[in-house]
Amino acid sequence: MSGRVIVITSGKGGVGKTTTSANIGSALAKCGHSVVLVDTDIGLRNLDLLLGLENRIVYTLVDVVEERCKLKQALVKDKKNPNLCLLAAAQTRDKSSVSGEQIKKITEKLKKDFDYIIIDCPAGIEQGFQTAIAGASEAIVVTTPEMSAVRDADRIIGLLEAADGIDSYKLLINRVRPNMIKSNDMMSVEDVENILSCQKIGIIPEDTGIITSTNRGEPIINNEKSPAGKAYINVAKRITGEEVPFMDLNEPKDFIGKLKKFFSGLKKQGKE
Amino acid sequence: MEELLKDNMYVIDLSNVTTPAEIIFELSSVLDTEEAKNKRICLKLGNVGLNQAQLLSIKSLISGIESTLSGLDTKSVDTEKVALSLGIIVSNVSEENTLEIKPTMPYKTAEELKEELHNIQSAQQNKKQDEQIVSSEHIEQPEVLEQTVQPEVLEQTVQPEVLEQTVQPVVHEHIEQPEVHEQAVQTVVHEHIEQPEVHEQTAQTVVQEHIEQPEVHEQAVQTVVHEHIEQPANYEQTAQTVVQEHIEQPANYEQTAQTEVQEHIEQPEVLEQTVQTVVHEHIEQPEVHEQTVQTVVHEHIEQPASYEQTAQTVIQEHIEQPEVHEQSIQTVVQNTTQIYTNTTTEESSASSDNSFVQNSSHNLNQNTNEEKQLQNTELHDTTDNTEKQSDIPSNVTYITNLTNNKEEQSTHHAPEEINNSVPQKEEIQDELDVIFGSNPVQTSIFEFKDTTGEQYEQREELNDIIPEQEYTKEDIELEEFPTKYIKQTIRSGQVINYDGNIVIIGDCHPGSEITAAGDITVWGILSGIAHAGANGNQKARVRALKMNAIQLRIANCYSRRPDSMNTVYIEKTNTFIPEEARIVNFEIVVFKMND
Repeated sequence: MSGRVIVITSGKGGVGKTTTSANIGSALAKCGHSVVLVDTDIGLRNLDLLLGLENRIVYTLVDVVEERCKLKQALVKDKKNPNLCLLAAAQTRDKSSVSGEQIKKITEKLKKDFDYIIIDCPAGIEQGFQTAIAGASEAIVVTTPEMSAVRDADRIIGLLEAADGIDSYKLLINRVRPNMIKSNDMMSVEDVENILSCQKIGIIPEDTGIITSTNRGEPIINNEKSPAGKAYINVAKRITGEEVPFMDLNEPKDFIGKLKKFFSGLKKQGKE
Repeated sequence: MEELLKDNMYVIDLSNVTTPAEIIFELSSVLDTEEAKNKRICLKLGNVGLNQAQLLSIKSLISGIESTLSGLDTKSVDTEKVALSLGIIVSNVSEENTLEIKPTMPYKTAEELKEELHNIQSAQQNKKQDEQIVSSEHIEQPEVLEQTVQPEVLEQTVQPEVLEQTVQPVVHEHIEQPEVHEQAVQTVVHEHIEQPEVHEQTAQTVVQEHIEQPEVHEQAVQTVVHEHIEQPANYEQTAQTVVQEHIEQPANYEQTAQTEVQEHIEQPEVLEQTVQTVVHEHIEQPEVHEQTVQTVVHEHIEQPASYEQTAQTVIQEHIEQPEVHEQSIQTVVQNTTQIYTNTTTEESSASSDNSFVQNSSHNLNQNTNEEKQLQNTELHDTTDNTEKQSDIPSNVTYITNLTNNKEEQSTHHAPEEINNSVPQKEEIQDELDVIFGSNPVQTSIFEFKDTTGEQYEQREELNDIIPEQEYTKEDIELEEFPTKYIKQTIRSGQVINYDGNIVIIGDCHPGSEITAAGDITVWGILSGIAHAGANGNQKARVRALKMNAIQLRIANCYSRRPDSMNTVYIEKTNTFIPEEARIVNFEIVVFKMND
């Protein structure tokens, strides 16, 4: 078995790398694949919090690298999904404690046992970023429809293209607000795509449920009502190769909106 | 209790066995014996790799004789994986592994442990061991107890030690309403009314209150006392100045030192004329203070303007000049060991509308307001009367031992007749009752409970409830470790290692790690990872005001925070119950202080 190594990166902080990693990993595991999430954000780890595994971590990536424990000992199994494992980052160290070569070795080992290795990349383009992408062959660039995030994503894409080993990269547009796009207050998904000239793999709508899910330590994909959760499941399906149409974000959510749509459809029919 | 659990542990060593079939064969022969029944069985396996079905069959075998498979010791990685998935504790995962137990089990609370023990007991029906549980419930540290009691005491501000040592019970208040004064007199509460300017001058030494309404009075006094206690630094300054001021009047001080209770009386002639009694009491000993006066509130009335306003009222007030006031403060403010009560009961005849009594300290004589003198001419023999006072300190008299009321000493050449002419406190009270009636509702407003004594009692009760902990040899060894004190908040990513005990005054945030060879004591919320007895000392303990640790590790025992515990935010309150974690039979159990 040789797993796929996917790095989730963005350049800019706060666009949702860690949330994306946790949810895509959980969604893939839910689909029946064996997944390991690797947190490379050493010193500022959060992935364990999002998965609610904070209290189970004994060994970390740094312990594995420094050979204080075996790789398998450092893998923390998810509470709900046995297919999902976490290799946490050390909180008490910094990015310099792990090198790209070491990450590469670890991912090579993990490839044997897991279908997907999702690497959560730290923000920035410094050593932490270089370390995170060292072992990866695919990349998902997370961005939001804001100019600053798009700029940083552009820079990251440039770096990914220059890096060895990254075969393909896809764009994931996070925190999209259809209402703001309608009123021309936000860049549309197409605009972002055009600016970055990069193929998209998913559009995640803005969802307040993300905050509660983060605080509770449960990935939002487990919440079936959440639009963001659905979108993340779709992304996971696209990663596996399944063809899933992109969500229609303009679809009215409430009953009145649906009623309006229904009546407008009737009018059109009448005119015809 | 630990013995009980140890007794209940049954280790089966099958490390020499090489195949799964042999394991089951050996196991079934061992399990036939009576010893293995109703036990927590720990299996020692060698390199044998077991799959899930095999392990399940072993588990069912063990549960068949009403025992539980509580631990597994294996060198095989496969077996470890399977065991973990079945929720069995695995120790000695591999040879290279330095840490023996993974935090697969959440740490228990004392209640859970008790429940578990209860189940064991009901199985064994051993009543004798019930006592062990009871004794184990009261596990606490006396040091921690004191720490927790203290903050409460500070809040309540009624502890006598605090009052005596650090806070001077001198409260100055402005009172503009004569009604307030009446009530104050009835309740033997004394009030200084001062000029604000004067107060500003003496601001560093005196904390004052402005009170215009009687309802406000109670609250205000309470807050003043609070302020005093919250500002010990200011208080120290005041205490120093007070001492200096006292030294300036050595004669008076010696006098007060010789007698437990003294009263100064001024202008007895005027008092007689205007049917006013002025009683000053120096109370130096807290015992006396408790007996005689419920509170230590002083009020100066100084403003001539307010004086005019209150001139027509029945009750007389003290009037002081700014200069005089400073001097009066000297007498009001005292040593830290002294509690000074200035009891002023003033009466006025209904006919004397503009009668005033100048009632303050011995040095009242200097600089009196001319206006006052003019107003007071009717009452005072002459305007020169006050000037005479400046020359003749004989107007200052001391009555010793208010409680005894018999041993009276006069100082400063004070004629004894004057002393005799002064009615005693009880008599004054009686007279006041006759004049104003003893209205309990009115008095209740100004009744201050001396709760200092009560606080003592409460502390004693607490000490009774929580027994002294018995120290074992190991505990003493732990105490002999060097101890590191850290007075800061330990934040995420910070690591503290020490080859001894660690005491942290502050919180330990999630993501922090504390590793100590000895005990870890956190005077705050422990939310990070704490590893006590890192060198293998299983007697080490982790203590915290609030135990919210992500992981607790003691020696080679690891435990994680139960998932049921809310992790988002721990509200900081004053009602934390200190908790202590220690090892009970290879499991970390958190005991609450008052369990």
